[in-house]
Amino acid sequence: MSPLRSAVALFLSTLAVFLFPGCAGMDALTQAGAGIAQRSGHITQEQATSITKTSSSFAKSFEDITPEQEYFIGRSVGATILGKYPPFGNQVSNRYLNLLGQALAQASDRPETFQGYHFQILETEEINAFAAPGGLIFVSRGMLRCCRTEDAVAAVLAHEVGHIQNQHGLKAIQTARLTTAFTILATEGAKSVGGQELKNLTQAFEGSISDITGTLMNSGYSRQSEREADAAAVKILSRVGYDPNALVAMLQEMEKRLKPGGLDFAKTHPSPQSRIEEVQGMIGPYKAVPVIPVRQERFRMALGNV
Amino acid sequence: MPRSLVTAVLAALLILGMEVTALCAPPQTMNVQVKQSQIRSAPSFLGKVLMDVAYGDRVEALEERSGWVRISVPGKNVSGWIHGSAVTSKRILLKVGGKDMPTGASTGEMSLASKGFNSDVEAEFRKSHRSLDYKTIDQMEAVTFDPQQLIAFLREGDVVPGKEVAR
Repeated sequence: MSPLRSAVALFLSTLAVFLFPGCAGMDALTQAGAGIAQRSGHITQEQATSITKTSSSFAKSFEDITPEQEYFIGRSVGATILGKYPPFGNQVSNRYLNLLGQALAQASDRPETFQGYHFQILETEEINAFAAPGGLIFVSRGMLRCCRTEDAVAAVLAHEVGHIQNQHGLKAIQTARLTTAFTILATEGAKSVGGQELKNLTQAFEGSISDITGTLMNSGYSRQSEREADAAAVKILSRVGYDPNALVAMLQEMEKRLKPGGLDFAKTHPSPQSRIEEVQGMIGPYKAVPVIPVRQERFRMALGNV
Repeated sequence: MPRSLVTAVLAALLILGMEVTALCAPPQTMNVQVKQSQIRSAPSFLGKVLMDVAYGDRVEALEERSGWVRISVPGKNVSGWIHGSAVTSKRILLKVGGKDMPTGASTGEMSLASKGFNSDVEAEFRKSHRSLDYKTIDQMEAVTFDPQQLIAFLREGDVVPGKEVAR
């Protein structure tokens, strides 16, 4: 193809994009562009293929992780958390936590994840709670002891659902790991991955798990992420019918119990006092959470021994 | 025409292509992106279940209302509502090379189910992390309540939307 004809073809396809901005247009256009450049001798077949690939893998980020992959990441993050904190085995308590948590998750902006939301109490005095990507949520006995009402437990769980809804865990994964994973997929996509590719993919997976668990257990999310999770919690609680003041009540209790310099929530979260101020900015001045007898009774039955 | 001009136009074209993608309206055809979900008679989890759908099932989106999408199922005389978090406008291909495989589709438009971080990768990972507790994870996943049970739980605890605001 002559350079002039290439230029005309390029101009026409550019124009086409403006006139018909369809979704299918973009990749076809990139391919056409790369094809023209190749035919006009500007680049080789290999480079053309590479451009087509790069342009579609350019925008890859944590948002391109499918719910199915998020689910597999979450399972291993959860298994790692359970490797450090054993599960608290009381079935009545865990059943109650799941009923409450799943009712809250259903009212979130992201009620459906690949395999749903599931909740588990951890056997530790530490005040802690973790949300593994995809919907696995862990709450320590120490954290549940900061809760005086079902509404307060709901506040803790809704905050964790907020982290999952906003995919905060996935955001902790270093971009380089995703680039590796998506590059393997782009080249191997149509074939089944085996041998060396599986090893490389597993390495990227291992790195992703360690990025997330490191964030959850050591460094903590950003203040911004915690604010988003609290905002989501307020919204979910109000939608379902729990009192969002219970989030403040729980934080007040946590403030009393957290040991400065502790290795739990004290290390990974903004101070309860600063979160209280932010939450009050959302819901107004604190009003004591009324105790509803039937609700309080079942709360006591389920979590009284925690 | 000078080489540099062609290169410049090419570059512009590639960038433009990416920009345009961001402005695209969602296509009508969507895929179920969760393991399983339900099509309901109303845009709410209280709506009657009309049909179960599974990962990769193709549906046609008709309208959207506060997070819910009204859909129809090609080849079936069913239309109803599914929550938007259960579907994606990306194509999900369950079988590589099967009849679903579009010709010339780029990886940006589709995602191959069971590719990437999958059960094979988990199995490989577990070989070198034997102390991790997947047994409890499997037990956790088995605990699922349906929407009716969840509504009953809330009702029994006198948890009613709007009540805490009214007091």
